Order: sequence, then C-alpha cells, then structure tokens
Amino acid sequence: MGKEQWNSRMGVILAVAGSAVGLGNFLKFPGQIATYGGAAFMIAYVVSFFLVGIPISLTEWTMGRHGGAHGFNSPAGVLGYFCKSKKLAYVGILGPVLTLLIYCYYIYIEAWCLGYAYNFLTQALNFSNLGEAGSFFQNFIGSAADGESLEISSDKVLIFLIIAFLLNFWMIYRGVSRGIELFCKYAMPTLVVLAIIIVARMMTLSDVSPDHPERTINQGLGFMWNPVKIVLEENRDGIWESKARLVGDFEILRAQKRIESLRASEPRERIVHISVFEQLANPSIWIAAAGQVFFSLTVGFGAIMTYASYLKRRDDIVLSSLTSCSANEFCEVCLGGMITVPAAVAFMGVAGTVSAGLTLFDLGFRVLPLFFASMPAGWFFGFLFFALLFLAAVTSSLSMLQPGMAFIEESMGLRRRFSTLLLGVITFFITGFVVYFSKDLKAMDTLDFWMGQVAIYVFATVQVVAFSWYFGVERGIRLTNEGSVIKLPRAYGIILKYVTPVVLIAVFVTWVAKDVFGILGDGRLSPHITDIVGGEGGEPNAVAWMSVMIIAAVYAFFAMILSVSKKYDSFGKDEK
Amino acid sequence: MTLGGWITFLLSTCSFTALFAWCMYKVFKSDRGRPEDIHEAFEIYDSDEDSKRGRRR
Repeated sequence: MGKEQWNSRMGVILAVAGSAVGLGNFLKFPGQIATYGGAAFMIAYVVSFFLVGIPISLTEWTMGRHGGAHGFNSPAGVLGYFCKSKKLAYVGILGPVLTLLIYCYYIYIEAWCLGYAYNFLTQALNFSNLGEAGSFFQNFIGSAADGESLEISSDKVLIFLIIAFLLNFWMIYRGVSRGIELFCKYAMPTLVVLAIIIVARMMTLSDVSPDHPERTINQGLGFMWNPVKIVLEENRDGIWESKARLVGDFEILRAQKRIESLRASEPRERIVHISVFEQLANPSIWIAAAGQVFFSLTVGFGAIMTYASYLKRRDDIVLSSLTSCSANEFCEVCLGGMITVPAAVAFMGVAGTVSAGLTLFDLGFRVLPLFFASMPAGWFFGFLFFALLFLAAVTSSLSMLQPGMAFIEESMGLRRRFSTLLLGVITFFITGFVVYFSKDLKAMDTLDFWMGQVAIYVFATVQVVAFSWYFGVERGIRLTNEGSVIKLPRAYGIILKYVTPVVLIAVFVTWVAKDVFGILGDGRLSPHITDIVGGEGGEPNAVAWMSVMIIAAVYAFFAMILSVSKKYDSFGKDEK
Repeated sequence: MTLGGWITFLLSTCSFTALFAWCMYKVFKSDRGRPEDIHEAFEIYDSDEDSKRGRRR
C-alpha cells in the first residue's frame, strides 16, 4: 500500500478549511452574535481565536505531520507516537470515535440541506407562514415519532440521506488526493461564490415587509452588530426583567411613547442601554465565543491531525494552519454573518425573529425557508442557499470519516476497499439508529452532547497538554517551525503552555458547572444528565441510554483493535 | 444600524478579510519557486516512469 499524500499545498489548505466551514458558520454564528451583541461578542471571539483556536490548530498540524512522517495517520497513532506512549494511543482513540459518531448524525443534517435544496429547485416549498414551514420540517425529518422518516419520498429525508451517504463514501474510497482534495478544490470556491451571490441579493433587498417599513436589512444588521444593546425591561413583582431588544429609531420611539402613556399609572417598563463593557462582564459571552471559535474551526476533533499526517516531512504548517483558520473566519464573519439574521429581521422584525428562535435549526430550517418562499425568485435563492449549506456540510463530513478510515487502515493493515466497507457498515448501522429514533431528535441530541461537546473539549485539552507539557513546548515549537514559511514566535510558547490549557479547562469547568449540573445557573441538571440518571420528575430515557451504550461499544471495539495490533507495540520502547 | 454598529461590522469583516488575503498572498508567493516544485518537475521525467510508459505503448 503506497503512502497517501496531498497533491498540493492549496489542496490541503482547502481540505482543512472545508473541514472547518460548515453549518455553524452560516447558521450558528449569526444567531450567537445577535444574542450576545456585536462588539462585545467580537472582542471575546477574536481573543478566543488567538488564545484557543490558533494554538489548538497548530498543535494538531504539528503532531499530525510528525506522526505522518513516521507512518501514523490516525489520531491514536499520531498521539501515541508523539508522546511515545501506548496509553496515550488509547486516549487518542477518542479522535476516530468522536469523529465517526459525529459523522453519524451530521450526515443526517447534511441530508436535510440536500433535501431542502432539491425541494426549492422543484418549487415544492410554498410556505405562507411559520407554522407551515415548521410542520414541513417536522414531517421531513420525522421528529414527531420514531421511524417516521423511513419512507422514500421527496418530502422525507431518507432518499437524500442515502445520496449523501454514498457521495461521502465514494470520496473517501477514492482517497485523500483523488477524493477529498479534488472535491474540496472545487467545492470550496463554489461555496464562496454561492455565498457571495446570496449576500449580494440579501444586501439589495428592499420592501421585504411592505406593511412594516421599519423592518429592513439595515435593522437586521443593527440587531447583530450594534455595540450598545438597547433593551426594553418590564417590572414584574419589583424585579426588572428583559422583555425585548429594541433596534432602530422607530422601535425606540414607539417604546418611549408606550412608556410615557403607562407612566400615568405606574412605571412598569423602562429602556436600558447595556454598554460593551457591561456585556463583557457576563461570563456567558466568553463561554459562547470560545465555544463558537472552537467548534467552528473544527479543532480538537483529530480531523486536522489526520489531514496533516499526509503532509511531507518538511511541508509548511504555520502558514497553512493560519490560512485555513482565516479562510474559515472569512466564511463565518464576512459571509455567514450577513445572510440569515439580517434576512430574518427584514422579513419578521426583531421580535418575530427572536420568538421564532435564533438557534441553528430554527433559523436554517424554519425562518429562512419561509423567507425564501416569500421573496421573488425565492425558489432559486433558496436552492442556492441550501446547496451552499450542503457543500459546506460535505466538506466537513469527509473530514469526520478520515480519522476512522486512517485508524482502520493503520491498525488492521486493510486495503482501502475493505476499510471503506468496514467503516461503511459501522456508520450505516449507527446512522440508521439515529434516523430511526428521530422522535424529538433524541438519539442525535444525545450523541451531540456526549461526543460533539464533552468529548471534544476533553480531547482538545489532552492534545494541548500532550504538546506543551508531555512533549515540551520548546521542542514542539521547533518542530512546528521546521520547513515553515512564517515562523511561530517563541513567545507563543507561553500561550500554548499556560493560557490555552487554562482557558480550555476554565471554559469546560464553567460550562459543566453551569449548563450540566446547574451549580452556577438555575440549579437544575442538564436534560442530557437527567436522560441518563433520571430525576427532576423524569425517568431515564431508553434512547439516550442506547446512544451512550453505542459510544461505549465503538470505543471498546477500537480499543480492542488497538490492543491486538502490533503497529503500536514500539511506543515507549524507542528512544524518546 | 448605528455608527458604532457600522464601525464594529466594518472592523470585523475587514480585519478577517485582510488576514485571509495576506495568508493567501503568502501562500501563492512562497509556492512560486519552491525547491520541491523543481524536484517534482524532475520526477515527471523519471526514467523508470518513461520506460514503463514505453512498455505500455
């Protein structure tokens, strides 16, 4: 079996950028920035980019290239070889396990995008209100009952899931350079062009809501980017609670008039200005910004590590890493940040958008389809938008399959045909489980929580600690700088050694305390925890339990392969 | 959108666009004249490859 390699530097940059650019760039980021406020969120975001995103990305690139030069491509092999420890190879299994399991539900969402693109192209989506858009979405994904989506029809997800699944495995079967690289070389520029066309159309929209002249794209941009948040608060039993965000002179004047008319009786409402500094004092904004950077760059998954392992020994990594990170940021901030929320606000107003929801699924699959269905030539722009999301999702899902593929090939010495088949069988059954248990998306939600949130933080922290403390930060930076066009300054070692691990651990501990155990929040356990242990008036959930069992089974299977494989026996015996 | 909003928006988008453009410039600039390219150019004329091609013909 010949060693696989990238054909060109631009190829690997586009593949890593493609791995990072996904649904989060176009659907999650705009919602986050609108929720937390423009300037404050961007300050926290940029700080997180340099203190968390870039350092983890660099450690993955460095470890990957080093491992690849010595015949290891999977995160298990790379981490084990890098630290000369078979025990760390067992920790490194987390990489292929979490990417494989994330793939199994990500492909489901990828199929939604393909299905929506197809249905827009055939002009089958003609919604007149949010309720219709919501019920189509519910029926399409089968979230009303288990097994509801298992039907071949254009208004059900199954057929699109099969197409997306086959496309991914065809690319993976073709290999790194003839499959992933070739696809990303065409998909990424296409994605950017599509995004530019959609942004141009959004920015030139006028009279979206003729009955509400205050609802404009400009108001939508203000909702996202205005640094000072203006909030209408209501007095409930002596406590002032936030009632609505006010954006634009029209809404502020209307609220002022209302307050003046109420003042005759008692002051029940007031307008409050929240400055950037006051917003930055809220720890939630830092957790949200660090999380967004972390997940958006796809760092901590082990995918970049696997991609970097196909580099040559003296290939540049500092510039390549920075280029792929900046490509992701360009897509996220400059393109993704200008589509969804401004369009939703122009169409439904600030209050309507907030009540419809600013989450990834609400914005992407309820609000925007309704918006496209209502605008002139909306079927065409709807098709373009969902085609864009589909391309972004495929470039990401390919990167999720490769660590598992690399692990199977490396540990079992299988030919590509057999390793593709084995990986295909495993992911087929787990994806089938996710799609069958579609009621309230319970299986997907559970896998996302344990793999897509908890395991990623743990694995990213392990990587940074292994690089900075186990391998040695000085040695690590020397390795990073080998063959690099731009050199990483030695001072960055302080960030890698102290700042990044501390930030990662602090954000993780705060998040676990607040959102999982409710210690710093409202005192309630996360539903993901109650699904497993019961409590708070609920029984443990069977689907959540099965999902956790699947995670344990996949980890145990990979650990068993690692334990019997002779490939990793040399770890710890070589000269360090 | 307020003036502050425009400043935040332009500062954010222009900074990341400039960073991306600079990186791309450096990538294209450093790709030109890389010793590996010369090495790879020689690999195209590898004599073994030529003889294989000859046999196929």
